Amino acid sequence: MRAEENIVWAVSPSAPRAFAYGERHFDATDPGEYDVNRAEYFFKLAAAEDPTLPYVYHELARIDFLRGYFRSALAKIDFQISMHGDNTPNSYYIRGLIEGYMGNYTASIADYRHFLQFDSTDWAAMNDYAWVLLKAHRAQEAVDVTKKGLALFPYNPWLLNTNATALYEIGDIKHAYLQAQLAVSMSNTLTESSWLHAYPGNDPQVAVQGIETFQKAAADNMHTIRLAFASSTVQ
Amino acid sequence: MRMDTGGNSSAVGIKKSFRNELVAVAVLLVVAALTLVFSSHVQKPFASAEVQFTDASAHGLAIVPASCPSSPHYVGDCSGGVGACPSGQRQDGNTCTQITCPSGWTLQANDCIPPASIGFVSFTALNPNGNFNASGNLQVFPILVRSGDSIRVYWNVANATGCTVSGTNGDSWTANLSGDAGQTSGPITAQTVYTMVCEGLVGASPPEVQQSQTINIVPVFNER
Repeated sequence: MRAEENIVWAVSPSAPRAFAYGERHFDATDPGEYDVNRAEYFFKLAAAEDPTLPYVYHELARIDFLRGYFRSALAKIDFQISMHGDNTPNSYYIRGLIEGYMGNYTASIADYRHFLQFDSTDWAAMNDYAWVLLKAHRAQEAVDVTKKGLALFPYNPWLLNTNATALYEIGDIKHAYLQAQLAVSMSNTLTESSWLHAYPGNDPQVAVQGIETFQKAAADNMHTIRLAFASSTVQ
Repeated sequence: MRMDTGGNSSAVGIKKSFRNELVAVAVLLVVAALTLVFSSHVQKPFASAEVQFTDASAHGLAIVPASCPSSPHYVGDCSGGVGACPSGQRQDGNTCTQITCPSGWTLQANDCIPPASIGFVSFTALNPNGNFNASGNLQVFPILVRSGDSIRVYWNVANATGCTVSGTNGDSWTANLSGDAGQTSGPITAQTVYTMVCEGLVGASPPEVQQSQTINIVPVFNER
């Protein structure tokens, strides 16, 4: 496949072809082809051929983000949004994600809100929106957002975990405990497939590691909330 | 001789030792080359910034962001899937419960869809006095007759379990449509009212539709 790509590219280079090759190697659901370095190589070729190609800087920003190069990722996604704006709405989601990781919660909240106008029932966007609301000490809003998400996805472990956290933050320990128990229960049903769907840019080989991290986080939360709940009932 | 012999054996020893070192170096080179080749074919897992990322809330709980919509190809994909109620079920608190539709309603994409209401279908009505475009509602033609004449009755009803058309003169038909030529009445000797009653499909609104038409007799004037 790779030799064929190299030959075809050498014979007939074009921005859409380079982008398609990049996409092929940046798909978590295809472990055999996943190769973020090769994906980046082709995305850069695509950008060199045609920088206005939709999503090319979006994908380059994602790769920088995954590597933890947040400043570079932010510059690229800003460039993407300056060129395509609302035509590539999930670029706002990416920028919200990057800003959230960088600790710029006000900007992140604005970008998640903007993205949710285009995809109002997106559970991951609601979950991440609640994450930055919590970081901005707006726990009640995080409760409201996750509650809305859980009305659509009652067993979603990410939403359950964030909802439990938000409820805990506003002092509703009883309901936080119930949600945390359910979050643990549902996190234990996660499959590699569903995890990779939640993190489409990640290497399929680290799915198990990611699931374990999530399960541990949910379990630790439940433990903390249980202690608070026990303490509150004793008093 | 001895010295010569000793010199020869020493030279041989040095040669052997040199040969062994060459072999060892060669083996090491081969092993290094194989290691290099092998390692270049083994992909190291790409651990992204997200893999082990959990953030802390104000009181120290772990929040786990996702990134589902980041892929351009996942637009809308994150609006379903993980943790949603299965098809045919809806959210009820923290549980999914089976959606039960009213009798006669059908379940489509988790919504209960009522059955279609009674409707009327237009058609070209055949009549000896001239064809006309019938609306599908109950129609009679003509509406004014001489005593003893017949008329034709037309209707064409959709989404009904059954229709009955009856006249005060004793006529009666049970069908959802009259046919293009209509139904020929019995003799009309007095003002006659035709009434059509149609039952809708189970669960439909309204459950029943009723329409009437009146036939009058041409007055007879007697000159004195």
